[in-house]
Amino acid sequence: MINWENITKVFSSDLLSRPVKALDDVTFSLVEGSTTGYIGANGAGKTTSIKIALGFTSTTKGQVTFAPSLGSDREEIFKHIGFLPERPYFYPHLTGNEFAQYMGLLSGMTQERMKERVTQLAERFGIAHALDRPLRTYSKGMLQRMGFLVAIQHDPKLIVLDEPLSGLDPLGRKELKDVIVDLSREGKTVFFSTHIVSDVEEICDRIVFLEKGKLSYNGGVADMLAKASSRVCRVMASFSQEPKFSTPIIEQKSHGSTWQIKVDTQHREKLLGEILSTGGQVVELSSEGATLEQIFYGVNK
Amino acid sequence: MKLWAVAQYTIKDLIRSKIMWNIPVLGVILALITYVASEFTFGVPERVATNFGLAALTLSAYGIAFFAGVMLIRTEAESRTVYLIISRPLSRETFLIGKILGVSTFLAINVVALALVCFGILMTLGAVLNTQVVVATGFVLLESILLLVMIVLLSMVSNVALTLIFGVLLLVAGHAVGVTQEIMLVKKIPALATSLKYYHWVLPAFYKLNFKNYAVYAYSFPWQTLGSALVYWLSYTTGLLLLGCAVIRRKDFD
Repeated sequence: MINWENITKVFSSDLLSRPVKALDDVTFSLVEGSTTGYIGANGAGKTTSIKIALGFTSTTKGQVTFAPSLGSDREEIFKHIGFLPERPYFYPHLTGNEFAQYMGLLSGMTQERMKERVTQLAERFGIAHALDRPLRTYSKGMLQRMGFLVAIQHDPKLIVLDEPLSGLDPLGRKELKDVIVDLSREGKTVFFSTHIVSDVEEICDRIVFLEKGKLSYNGGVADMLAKASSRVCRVMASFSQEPKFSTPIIEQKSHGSTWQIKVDTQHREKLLGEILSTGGQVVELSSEGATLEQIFYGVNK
Repeated sequence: MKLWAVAQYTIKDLIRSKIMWNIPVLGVILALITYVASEFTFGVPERVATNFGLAALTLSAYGIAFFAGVMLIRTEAESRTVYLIISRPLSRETFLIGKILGVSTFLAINVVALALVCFGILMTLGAVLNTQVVVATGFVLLESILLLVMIVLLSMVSNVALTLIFGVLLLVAGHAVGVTQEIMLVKKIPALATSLKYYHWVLPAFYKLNFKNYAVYAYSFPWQTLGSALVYWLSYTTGLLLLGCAVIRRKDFD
């Protein structure tokens, strides 16, 4: 839906300071209908690339293009995009209702549709009781929910969220993650940045990993997990005495007469043959699972 | 429609902010100063009241133009609300003009409210409300709108301190340039005289919009000057707005 094509962004604050390369030749695309997690440490360039995509800031090199399904001109394209910035702050003297109305008007919504959507979404986010209060009286969690509400009130096809779960309590995080899952089920394309990998593992089907301004990984979450899982094979087998193998072993541990042996998947058959030929009995055979967090720590190493 | 939405919610936010206290506070101060000053005047209390009234109106309008102008786009960028707005299907130019329209309307509310206080005092002192006072008040509003647009433009290309410094300098210079042209020393230096003659083409000549003396001394208006002042205000403000639109179109909100 959005294509980042060879995006490079260099910041230079003044003539004397050294230019900083925030993004270095980044190329990736958002798959329509996917929920994509955008991972990277603080300062990796996630927010900058989102700002470039939405036209808030220019690129030093490269370009951003939009899928024809979003529209042909800027106005049409942005009618189909909902965006929530990181740590949003709203007009303090406006009430929640007024702010939602303002955003709705800018999105070209009719009064009736606006009222209907705001009421429905405010109920869902648990802020219906506060809609007539000024936004300055809202807690951080309520403001985040309000931001979420206005980002999706005009029923966009593509929802871009910059660190949407930051600063929320566990219950708030769960609620908003459920909303993202629901949006995904409705066929929306969701793209959200975070540095918490477990959130992505929980709700995303695709992942883009950015490291120090460079793209490290772009693909399916399941593919990534499958690749990592299939690397290590774990065999539990019982022996009357300590076994010795010619197969390259990653790890071998004893639990009484039962031994846990880890090998690379490619050596699995050879190991099983050796276990049986030495009189051992295979108790359990499994692939060792890895979390995305472990994988990306691995990637970082 | 979207332009009006931006303007409407800018006014709403401003009206509910503390800046609105400016009207009752200045109104009371204006009433007190005018009363005290007129007591110390011999024979012309209404002239002193007009002078003080228009001065207070002007200072209040300048204050709002500076305060709101410096913060108008900067606060939106710092608080990231600008991202929410420009990610909607509206152009940056609509956003800028809508914001300026909102503050200009707020300036109008402020000027009208203070003018009512001022006119009330004048009438209490037995003065007859003449056209000159009303027209001069109108030009205070036009002048403050021009100042606002100039400050907004400056704030988009520099920081708060520089915006305020350049803003004050241009305001003072824009008022002083009119009388400076009449100084003999200036007339004797052709290069200086020529540059001052064409000053108003490049930088805002606020003196062209100042009709307070006509109000205070009840001089009859040179209608041609008034007309050319209106044309000047319209063309210069439009020029600055177009420049502002070009700047915001290319501005990076990092």
